Amino acid sequence: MDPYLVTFLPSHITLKAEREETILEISRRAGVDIEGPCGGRGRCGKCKVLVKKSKGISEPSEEERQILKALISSGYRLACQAVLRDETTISIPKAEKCSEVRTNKGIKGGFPKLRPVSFVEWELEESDIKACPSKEEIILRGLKRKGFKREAKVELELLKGLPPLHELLEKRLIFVLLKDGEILKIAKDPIQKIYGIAFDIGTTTIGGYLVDLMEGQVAGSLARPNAQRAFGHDVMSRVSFSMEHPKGLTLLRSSLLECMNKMVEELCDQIDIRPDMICEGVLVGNTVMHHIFLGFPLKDLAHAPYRPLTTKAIRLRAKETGLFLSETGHVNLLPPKAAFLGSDIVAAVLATGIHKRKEPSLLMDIGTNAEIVLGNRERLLCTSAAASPAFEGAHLKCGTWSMPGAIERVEVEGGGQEIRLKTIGGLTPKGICGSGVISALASFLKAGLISKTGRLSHKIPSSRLREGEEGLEILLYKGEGGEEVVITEKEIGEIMLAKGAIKAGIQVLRRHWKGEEISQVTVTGSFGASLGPSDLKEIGLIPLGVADTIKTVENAAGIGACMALLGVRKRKEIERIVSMMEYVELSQDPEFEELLVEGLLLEGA
Amino acid sequence: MESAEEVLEGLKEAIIRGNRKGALELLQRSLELKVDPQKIVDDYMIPALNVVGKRFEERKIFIPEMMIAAKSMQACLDVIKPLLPKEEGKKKGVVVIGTVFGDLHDIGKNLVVMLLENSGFEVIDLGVNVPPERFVEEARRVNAQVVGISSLLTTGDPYVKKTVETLRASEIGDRIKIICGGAALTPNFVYSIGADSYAPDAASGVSKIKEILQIDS
Repeated sequence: MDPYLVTFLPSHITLKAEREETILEISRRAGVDIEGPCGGRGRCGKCKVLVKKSKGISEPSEEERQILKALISSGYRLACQAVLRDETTISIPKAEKCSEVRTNKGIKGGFPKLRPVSFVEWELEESDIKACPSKEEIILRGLKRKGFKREAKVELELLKGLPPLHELLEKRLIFVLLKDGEILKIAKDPIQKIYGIAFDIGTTTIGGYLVDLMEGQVAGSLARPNAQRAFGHDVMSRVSFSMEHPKGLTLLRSSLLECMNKMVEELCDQIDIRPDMICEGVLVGNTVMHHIFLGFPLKDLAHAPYRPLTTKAIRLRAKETGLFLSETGHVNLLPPKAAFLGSDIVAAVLATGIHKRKEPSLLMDIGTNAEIVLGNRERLLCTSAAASPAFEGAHLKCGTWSMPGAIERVEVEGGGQEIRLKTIGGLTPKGICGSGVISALASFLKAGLISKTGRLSHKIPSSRLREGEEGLEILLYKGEGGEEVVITEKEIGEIMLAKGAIKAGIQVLRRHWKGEEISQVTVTGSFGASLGPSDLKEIGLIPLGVADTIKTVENAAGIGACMALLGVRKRKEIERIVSMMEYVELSQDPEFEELLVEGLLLEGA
Repeated sequence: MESAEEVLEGLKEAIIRGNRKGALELLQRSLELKVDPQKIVDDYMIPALNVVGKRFEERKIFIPEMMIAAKSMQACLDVIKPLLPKEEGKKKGVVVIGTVFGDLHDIGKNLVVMLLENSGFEVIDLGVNVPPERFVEEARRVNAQVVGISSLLTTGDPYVKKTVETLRASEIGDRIKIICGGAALTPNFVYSIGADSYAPDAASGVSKIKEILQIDS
């Protein structure tokens, strides 16, 4: 067929297409952000676009008719469904533009003081050169002379950057940076500054941390949306994408790397350093992200028996992975535990230290999936419960990511007469994010406006309670332009299912545990930590009888990754944690279904 | 003292509301009052489940409440089943059902199984992670009219397709009816791979199966 042009408004990006393609596919190539939460399946309707004019476009599919209804006649289409074959101009509705969803806030601290690197210097002697046949051994001999006892190893790569021996002899000084016996850098000049970088790669958000290795401190941090969102919001839709498209994995991988390299630059700009001053990297993330970064096929993560390619730690030259750090830098991928339990939760265990405590603790990373660990210094049980994208506010009628303008808190007063909303950034409400939904449920429950089976009460003022397309709904906000934010009973049902699954996961682990009662609960994950501990109790996510106080740590996985950045010892500890962890598969547990149903009700019992 | 009628109505209501403990107590009392077990099942328990199904379709209740009600129903059935005479009655149809290869999720499928059984179908549940060939073998063995395929993960699509194709290519391919359902599937996909029907959820699964078998009630 003849090539044709496609223009995206309002950015006025135009590009050439040469075959029949969906608007979403073309937009990805054009670098235009269109949300694709369901991975282009025509289920969620979030990729709605307005076709201004077109000389060749497919007829609306059944999915489009169902989702868009009357909007079709005004020219709206789903980008993932509409196939183009001739010149077309498309306008992306403002509210749908994901480029506006930027988590600009840095990552909150609470970092432990990390042990910095040690630093050795010595004078190069003629006798060193006489005694050794190679540059490598000269360095090792010098280290030995400085009282370095253990067998050290020098990465040959590090020696490549060193000036020739005759020049070194003139200046005579050698500087070496060490951490737990691992040589990070060798130079002829005093090493002023040296940095490491840690990444926590989530499906939705990537956290990045720049660590000053000399000081042992976090020097900068950043959170950015994972650019792979265009290929599907939840992790499984990305796996599908990698399987259905011949270049799927490559596309996912390059999108991830581009995002990470951009973050490296941004982090460097924050404190005015260069990426080549970063000599070490640590990556944690869910197992799918781990596999994508490494270019491992994803099929085994998506099908029973669900096995990752490896559960060992991996150390690679940064430049071989496509991550732009120092020429001689390395990247460490901490080991995942299982297909649904990534190195992120393993790192979170390291950060919270529950594997060292005598009393049992419960650690949960709550997101679309919930990873749960229960244990102490003797034994760690772990599992993963599929919650639901609904839990994070996605797939909800008025759901949105935690972006500026998202409702994050809901308070009810006067029996529902007054509903007070708090949005991120204090802006006019644009939608509601997961923590807002949970907060709303907790407040309605407290005020008796919702039953424990999830029904909206008729005590809610009639101005707010109404019959919508999908059953009863409650109106939280109505703007001057008529824009509305509602929560439907159906959505409450979805949240209950997600909550029930997580609670059942905890209960299954408790039954396997059989020991002392849990004395400490920690909730982490950028979503999990945004939830109010009292809200979690109100909706009954934490079983009764479990420790009363719930602690939230915003980024335990990131903290764990930073800790691992500062040395082999911590990385060995991570490996020990992985071998301590016993994985309990929920879907095969005979009690899970029963416990799930028990855990559905919105009650603290 | 309350009449048997009151107790039975209470039982029906308890199942609808998903009050398992209450339902079990009332069932026990009905049995003590010497009500015919078959009558309890036919006139109160199954109608209770029908009410639940109807409310679900009307969007008056949602999945959690349906699951809770179904669990109460199941608990009562476990008690009363041994007391029923061996069934000789004609079944509405034979359905072979399972979760697609590669997928271990079965909560939705189990719900469909229960609803079907209570609607008078004979159901052969193949469990989870079922390879395409097993669907064919079992459907042939029991002479099923319908095969139900459940798939939760979006990554299951290729296997749903393969299962439908394998069924169609088999000797029973032209007479078997195939219905697919589960969170990951879309009607477009299901029809494009050659299945006969699509059900977005458990409750509609039963009515869709009746529809493709042209059964009225």
